[in-house]
Amino acid sequence: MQVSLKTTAKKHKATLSGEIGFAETAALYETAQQILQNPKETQIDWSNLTAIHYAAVQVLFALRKSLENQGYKVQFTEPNPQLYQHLHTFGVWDALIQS
Amino acid sequence: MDSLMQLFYDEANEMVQGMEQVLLALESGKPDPETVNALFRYAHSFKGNSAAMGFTHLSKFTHGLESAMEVLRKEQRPLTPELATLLLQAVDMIRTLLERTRTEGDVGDPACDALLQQINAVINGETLNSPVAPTASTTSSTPTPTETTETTATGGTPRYRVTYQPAPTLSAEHDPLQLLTELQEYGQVIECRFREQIPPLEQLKTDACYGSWELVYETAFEPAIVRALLELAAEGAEVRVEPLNASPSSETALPTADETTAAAPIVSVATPSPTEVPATATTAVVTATVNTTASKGEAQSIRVSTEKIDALMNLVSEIVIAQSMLSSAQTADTDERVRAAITQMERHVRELHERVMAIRLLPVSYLFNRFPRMVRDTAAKLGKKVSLEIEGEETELDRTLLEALSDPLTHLIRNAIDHGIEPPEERRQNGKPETGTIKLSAYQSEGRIYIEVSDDGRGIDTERVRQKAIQLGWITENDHPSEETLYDFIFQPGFSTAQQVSDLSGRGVGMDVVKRNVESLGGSISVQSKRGEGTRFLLRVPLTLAIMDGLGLTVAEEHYIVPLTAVVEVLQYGSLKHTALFDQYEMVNVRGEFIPLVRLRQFVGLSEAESNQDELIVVLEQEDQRIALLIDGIAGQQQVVLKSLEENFVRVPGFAGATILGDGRVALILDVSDLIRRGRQSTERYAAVA
Amino acid sequence: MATITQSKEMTTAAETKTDKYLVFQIGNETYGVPLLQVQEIRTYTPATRVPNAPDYVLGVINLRGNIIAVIDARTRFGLPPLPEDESTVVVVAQVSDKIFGLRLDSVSDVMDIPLEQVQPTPPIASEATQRFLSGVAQVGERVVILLNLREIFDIDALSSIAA
Repeated sequence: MQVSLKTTAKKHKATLSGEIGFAETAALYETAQQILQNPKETQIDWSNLTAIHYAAVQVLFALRKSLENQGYKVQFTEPNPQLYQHLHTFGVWDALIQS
Repeated sequence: MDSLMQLFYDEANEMVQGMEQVLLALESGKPDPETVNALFRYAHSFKGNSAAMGFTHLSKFTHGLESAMEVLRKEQRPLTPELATLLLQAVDMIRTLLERTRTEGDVGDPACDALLQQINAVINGETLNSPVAPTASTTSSTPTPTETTETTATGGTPRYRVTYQPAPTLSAEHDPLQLLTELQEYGQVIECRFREQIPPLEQLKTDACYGSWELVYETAFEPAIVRALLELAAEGAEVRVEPLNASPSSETALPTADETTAAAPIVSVATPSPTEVPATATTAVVTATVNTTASKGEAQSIRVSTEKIDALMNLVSEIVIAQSMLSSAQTADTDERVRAAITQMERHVRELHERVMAIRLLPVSYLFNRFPRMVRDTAAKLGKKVSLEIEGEETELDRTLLEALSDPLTHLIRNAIDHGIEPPEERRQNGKPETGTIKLSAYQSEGRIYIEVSDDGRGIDTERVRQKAIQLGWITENDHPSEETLYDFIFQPGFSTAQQVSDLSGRGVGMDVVKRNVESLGGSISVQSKRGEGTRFLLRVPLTLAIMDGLGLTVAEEHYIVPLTAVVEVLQYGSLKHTALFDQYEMVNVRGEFIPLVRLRQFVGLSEAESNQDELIVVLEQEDQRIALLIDGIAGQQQVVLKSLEENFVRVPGFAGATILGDGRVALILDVSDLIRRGRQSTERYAAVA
Repeated sequence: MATITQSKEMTTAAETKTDKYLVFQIGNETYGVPLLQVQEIRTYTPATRVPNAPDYVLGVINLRGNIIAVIDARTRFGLPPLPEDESTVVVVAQVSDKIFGLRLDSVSDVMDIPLEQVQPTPPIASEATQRFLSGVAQVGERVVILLNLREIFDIDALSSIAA
C-alpha cells in the first residue's frame, strides 16, 4: 500500500496504490489532513489501487467535502477496473464522483 | 478518448457479443436457465454501465430488453424463432446506438420503442395493436407464494428490498463494502443506493460508519441468511430484508431512468445493419474480466493495451537476434565462463520468447464467434438451411493471425453457403438432410495451425472448372489436368466470374485474394472435394509469426534458411542411389523410398556447377510429403526471427520471408510448401507416365 | 483595404515557392528527387540477392531490423552498373507505404528548385524510361531531371515475379 503526495503551486496529487485496508486508513487520513492544511485543487490518482476498505473510502469523501467547502475541487482518476466494479455496484462510485 | 470511455466500449462490445452468442445458442436447444440468466445479467450490467456513462437512451433501451428477458427467464414463455429474431434485432439496435454514442453522444432511435413493444407483444402472445409497457405488466400468470397479486409473470428467484445500516464501528474485520460484495455470491444485486452522512474531514472519525445502503437483491436463499451475512462482522448492524412485490419497474426509492411508454402504433422495425464489432479492440482482452456476478473461480486478469504488448514483442525479437549474434561471436578462445553464461542466456531467452509469444496467443474462438450469426443471416437471405459446427475453438494462435484470417474465412464460409450448400429441395431430392452442414475446425499439428472449412454440399464440379480454364485460354480442349491442378486453377486470379462475385461475396473478393492473404501470413491453402458430397478447404498458418528454429543451408556463396520443423535428416548425396526419369525428373533413393530431388541451386536461380561428392541432401517433409533438397553445405542451426518480405517489398515465390543473421546480413527463408510443390511436379509426371 | 494588401503578400510568397530536392549524378546527367520522400542516406552495404527478381533489384538489406529492397539506379535506367566504391550510397526513400533503397554513385547536395522552373519532360527518352521522369528544371546553369520514385520502385510490376 502506498500513499504519496506531490504538491505543486497549483495542486495536490495524491497517488494511492496497492491495497488500503483498515490499518492503512490512518495513513490516508494523515495525508488528507496534510492536504487540508494547505488546501488546493486535488487530484486523487488511484489507477493502481486494487482494493480499499470502506473506512478509507469515507476518508476520501470527507476530504472531498472539506475541500469543496473551501471552494476547491477534487478530481478522481480512472480507477482500476475491478475497483470500479466494486465501488460502482454499491453506489459508492456515483456518490463519490458526483459533486 | 479517455481510458474510462475506452473501458466502457470494450466492455460494451464484450457484452453485446456475449448476448448475441447466448441468443444463438438458445436457438438450437431448449432455453437453459443458466444461459438465460447470463443473458439477463449481460443486459443488466450493460444497462448500469451505460447509465453511468450518461447514455440514457442506450440504458433505457437495454432496461426494456432486460425486463423482457426477465419474463423469459421465468420460463413461462418459449423462445420462438420469431422472438429470437427480434431479440437479435435488439442486439443490433444496441450496437447501433453504441456506435452513435461515439459520434453523436446520447441519442436514441425512433425504432427502439417499437422494437421493444414488438418483443413484449410476442412474449405475451398479444396482438400487436395494443401498446404495451416495456415491462410486461398486463396479463396474468400464476402468482407464486412469495409474491402477491398484480403484474409480472412470477415464479423463479425472489427479490427483496434490503436495507443495510452497518454497525457503527468500523474495523479491519468490519468492512461494509466487503460484506456487500459477499452478497453477490449468494444472489444478484439488481439495484443499489448508497446513502451517506459523512462529515468533512475535520470532524471525521475514521472508525465510524456514516453510510447505509438500500438494495434490490435477488436470491434463492432465505432472507434470514441474507441478514446473517450482513450482520456477520459486527454487532449492532441493522438489516431489513423485505420481499419485493412490485414489478421490476417500480424499484422504489432507487433512481432509474424514468419509464415512458410510447403509445405509437407499430411501425416497421428498422433493422440497423450490424456494426461489425471487431474481435480485437485497441485493448487486447487477455481473458474475460471484470464481470463479478458470475465469475467465481475465473482467472484473475488485466487488460493490456496492444501497443504495450507489441512493444514488448519487438523488444523480445531484438533480444533474440542480439543473443544469436552473441552466440555466433563465440570463438575457440572464448572464456569458459562467458560460454557458460551465453548458454544459460540462450535458455532464458528462449523461455522469455515463448512466454511473451503466449501472451499474444488467443483462442480461435475469438475469430469463430462471429460466424454463427453470419451463417444464420446469410443462409436466411439465400433461402438455404445451414447449420454451423465448430470444433477446436480453444486452439490458440497469434493475435495478428486471427485478425488477418477473418476476411479469408468469411469469404470461404459465405462461398460455401452460396455455392456449396444446395437449396433444401435439391438436397432432399438427393437424399441429403435438408439442412446443410458447414464445419469449421481448428487444430494444431507439427508447429502449425490448421483451419478447415468443410461443407456437405455439392462439391466442386471439376469438369466445369476445366471448361472455364479452356475458356480463359489456360489449357486446350485436349488437356486433362489432374484434379489437383484443376483445384489450383480456382485460386488463380481471373478465375472467379462476375456471377460468383455476388452481393454476398461483396467487394469482389475472389479465391485468389483468399490465397494471397493466407500466403502473406506465411501460410497456404488447399482444397479437396467430391462431387455431390462436399468440399473441404484447408488453411495452414504458422503457429508463431515471429521466431522459429532454422537450419542454415549454403549453395555457392549464398546462405538460406529452412525451418527446422520440416527437416527430417541430412545425408550425403554421394552415398545415395539416384536416378533421373527421362533424364529430367531426378529422384533419390532413401532407404528404399524414392523421393523427388530438388536442386537448391536451380531453385534460387544460380547456374549449375559441377557435381561433387561433398554435396548434401536435406530431406524435408511437410504433411506426409517429402523432397530431397540438394545443397552444398550446412551452416549451422539457429533461432531466427522471421521478417516479412512483403512489408517493404513483395512476396517472393519460393520464400516464406527473410531473417537477419548474426553478422547483420539478410538471409532468405525457404518456403517448404513451394519446395515440395517443385518436387511434386516431378512425381506427378512420373505417376502419369507409370 | 487590408485584404488587398494581404493577398498581394500571398502572391509574392507563391512566386518564390520552392521545393527542396536531393540532387545527384548518374553518368553525365544531374537528377533530383523530392527531399520529403528521402528518409536517409547510407553507405552502401552488399545486398542479399533475391532469386528471380529483375536485374535492377540488387537484393534486400537490413535497415534497423526491417527488410528493404535496394534498386540500382543505373541499371534501372538501362545503363551498365558501376562497381561500388567509397562514394557509393543508398538513398532510402518512402513510396506509398513502403521503404526502399536506391543505389547511387554519389550524392551531390540539396537544392532548392523553384516550382515555376519545373517544366514537363520533353519526350526524349524511350517509353520505358520516360515514366521515371517527372519533369525538368533549369536552375542557373544546371539542368536537373526530376525523378518519379513511384515509377522507379514500381511495386505492381515487382509483384508479378515469376515463380
